[in-house]
Amino acid sequence: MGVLNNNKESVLKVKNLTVSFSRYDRGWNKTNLQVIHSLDVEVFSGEILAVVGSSGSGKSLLAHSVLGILPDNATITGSMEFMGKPLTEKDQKKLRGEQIVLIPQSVEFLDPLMKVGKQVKGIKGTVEKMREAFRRYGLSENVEKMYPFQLSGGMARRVLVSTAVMEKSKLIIADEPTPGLDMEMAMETLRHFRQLADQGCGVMLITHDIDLALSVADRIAVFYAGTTVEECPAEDFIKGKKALRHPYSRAFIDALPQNSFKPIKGTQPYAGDLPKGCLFADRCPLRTEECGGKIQMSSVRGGKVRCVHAT
Amino acid sequence: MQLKADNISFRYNDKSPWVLRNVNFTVESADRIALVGPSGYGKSTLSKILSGYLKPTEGKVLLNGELLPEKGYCPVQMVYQHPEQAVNPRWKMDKTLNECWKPDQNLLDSMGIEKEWLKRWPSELSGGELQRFCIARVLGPDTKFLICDEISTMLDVITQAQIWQLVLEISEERNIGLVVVTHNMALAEKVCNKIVRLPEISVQKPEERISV
Amino acid sequence: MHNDSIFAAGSPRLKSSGINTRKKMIIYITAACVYLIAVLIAGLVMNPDLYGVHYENKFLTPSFSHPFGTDFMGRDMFWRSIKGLSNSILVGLAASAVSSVIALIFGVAAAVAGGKTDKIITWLVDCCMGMPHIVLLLLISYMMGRGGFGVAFAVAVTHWPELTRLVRAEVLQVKNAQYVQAAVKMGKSKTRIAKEHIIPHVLPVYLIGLVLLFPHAIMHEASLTFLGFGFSASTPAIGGILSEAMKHIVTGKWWLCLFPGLILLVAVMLFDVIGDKLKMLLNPGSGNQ
Repeated sequence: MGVLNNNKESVLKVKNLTVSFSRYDRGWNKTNLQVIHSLDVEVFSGEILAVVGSSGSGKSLLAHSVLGILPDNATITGSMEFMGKPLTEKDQKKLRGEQIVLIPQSVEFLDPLMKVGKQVKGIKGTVEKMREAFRRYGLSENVEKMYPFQLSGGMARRVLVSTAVMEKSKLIIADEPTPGLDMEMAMETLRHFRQLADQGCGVMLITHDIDLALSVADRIAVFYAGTTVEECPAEDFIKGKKALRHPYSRAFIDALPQNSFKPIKGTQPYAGDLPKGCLFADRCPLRTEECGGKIQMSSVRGGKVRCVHAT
Repeated sequence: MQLKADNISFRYNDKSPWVLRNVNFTVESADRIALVGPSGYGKSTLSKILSGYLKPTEGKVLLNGELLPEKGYCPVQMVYQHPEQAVNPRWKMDKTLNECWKPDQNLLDSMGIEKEWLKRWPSELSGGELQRFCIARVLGPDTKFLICDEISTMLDVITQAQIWQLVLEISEERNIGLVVVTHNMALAEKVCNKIVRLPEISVQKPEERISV
Repeated sequence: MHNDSIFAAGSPRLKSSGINTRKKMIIYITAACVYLIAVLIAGLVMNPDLYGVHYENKFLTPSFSHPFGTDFMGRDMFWRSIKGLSNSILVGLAASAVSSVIALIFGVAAAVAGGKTDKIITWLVDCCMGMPHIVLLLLISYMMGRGGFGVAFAVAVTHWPELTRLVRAEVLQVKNAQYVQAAVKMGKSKTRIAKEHIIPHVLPVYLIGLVLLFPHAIMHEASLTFLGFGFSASTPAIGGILSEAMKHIVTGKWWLCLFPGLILLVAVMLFDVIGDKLKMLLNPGSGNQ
């Protein structure tokens, strides 16, 4: 139910997702730790959805859930749909690497002992496709024969992105693709994503860097303590505090170094020790008694928000 | 106090290209210097040299005119980009926190470190929370300079602002000089009182390194 | 929106049984240890008469009084096999102890000293691993005058290379970890860093390596004895028993090799089980599964 995107196709729809890990606390007893709860997110074709939030808010786990690469002690409930069809574990295996592609964080995710051409080609691709992908990103043919350590930073970026265009992928998930890059290189990487989206892919850009997210994304989903607190068009963030709906998103704007650089107090609650009701309540300036109940996502001014005080 | 990089050059071995060439610069206790420059100019290498983790191939690092001590507590301490890698995963947090000195309750409160976190394992805390521990543990009374190598790059903006407020407050209170490596210009301008561009103080350009 | 599919319904992830994996592993490990220790102790305190010569009982097929049958001198195969396995475990223990100490010293030295020491030790490891193991064992055992001592010595001094490599890699890795480097800059002494950071990191890997050495040592002892370079024929040893049994297998005395072979196999596999389970328990990555 994209608010603004009724004419676009839904590529990925995650509804009411929970992810929990079973773990041993002391000795033999197992306990469950729920790290993602009632999470909703939808990615449409031709757009970039930026998932922002602090570390530990469940951004990467969402990516791993969609790809089906969570460890064995994880349990998932809720529903996921890919191109309008339920996404089962079997589908995930078939689709990942073809229609659903992950762009990893750095070259460290490549096999250091294998030439990059062969790695980009993968098991499913062909040499022709690989060459085409390389040409598209201005990588010459001798790059194929290089090992990952021989690539310069910029080349490495392009090699990683080229893995995504090998197949006719519909959904591209990029997990923190920019840390450690300087501004110019980060922007170039993001431009590649923009291009892919413009050609009809859905891109899920996972990042903690709201600045960069704003420069390319169409929509922003803000995560907090394992749930979505706001989903809105990126313009709202650019317009500033008043256009936003959730107090946590507004706190983001204030904390930016180019703005007032003023943080709110406190930290995100620990997954094993979550408050009842609104998870943000104990840091929130708008807190009232109503915040203790269960808070649903509601539509406000063309976006969605999980806050009873949002107007 | 003064921390001085005296004509520092660095390369990994005799055959490898120079990473840094003839770098000179000085930090005073009251300074908050931002070290900026594109990737590949050796910002991280320079911070490691300044804090004594690496030995310069040529030149010296001088603290008040003397070489950095090889043994004992180093007055120049460094905080890393990835706090997860900078704490022992097999230690609970209170042990990590108290590894070299016992921070008092006041400091913990002002750092926003909650009592309950001390009993947790590193894997049960987020990056921002861990980074607070990494900073608190090097704020001992003997620390004179703090080198911050992209310490907030992996953190969200709220935590970033929290962390920097703390560092600024404490460095001012204790007269600790700061060297801040960052790629975020807005941050550098907000946090620091002096900006040093590495390409201007190091003769070595990355292109030359690749061609060697 | 109303036909939400419940993702992962019926997938094995949702299965929850009363006994979780960790409990199961601990049960496995305990059972394996009990079996091995029981065999070892039984062998040590056994009355030699139990596997003594009784010509009146030659070549009996397995029965209640002789579960594994008897051999051409009327010796009870059950007790003989137990005694033999117990001897093998003893050799294994000695060999593992010696090998692991060598590995620990070499591994740590290579990683800490670096430079020439590291090169020499790595070269030695490569040398030992490059040579066919059994040939090396035969040579050393022969040089040391065969017998129990020869075989124990040979097995003891040839099982260190792999563990050395493992220890070296682990020490190197933890030595360069940021938290160890930071501890150095905080003025911690070398002994303190070794005690607080390095040993706790290396110990689990070392212990697992030690346990996994056992089956190798036992198998190699058995092979040496089987080939006639180990224990003398009068000492009960699985290798000796099996090589004797070879002579009788054509005449249909199947029990002579089946049961001793089986208990050796079980012992070796149990050690492997212990090592593998320990590895899973101690590895933080899989420890919670």
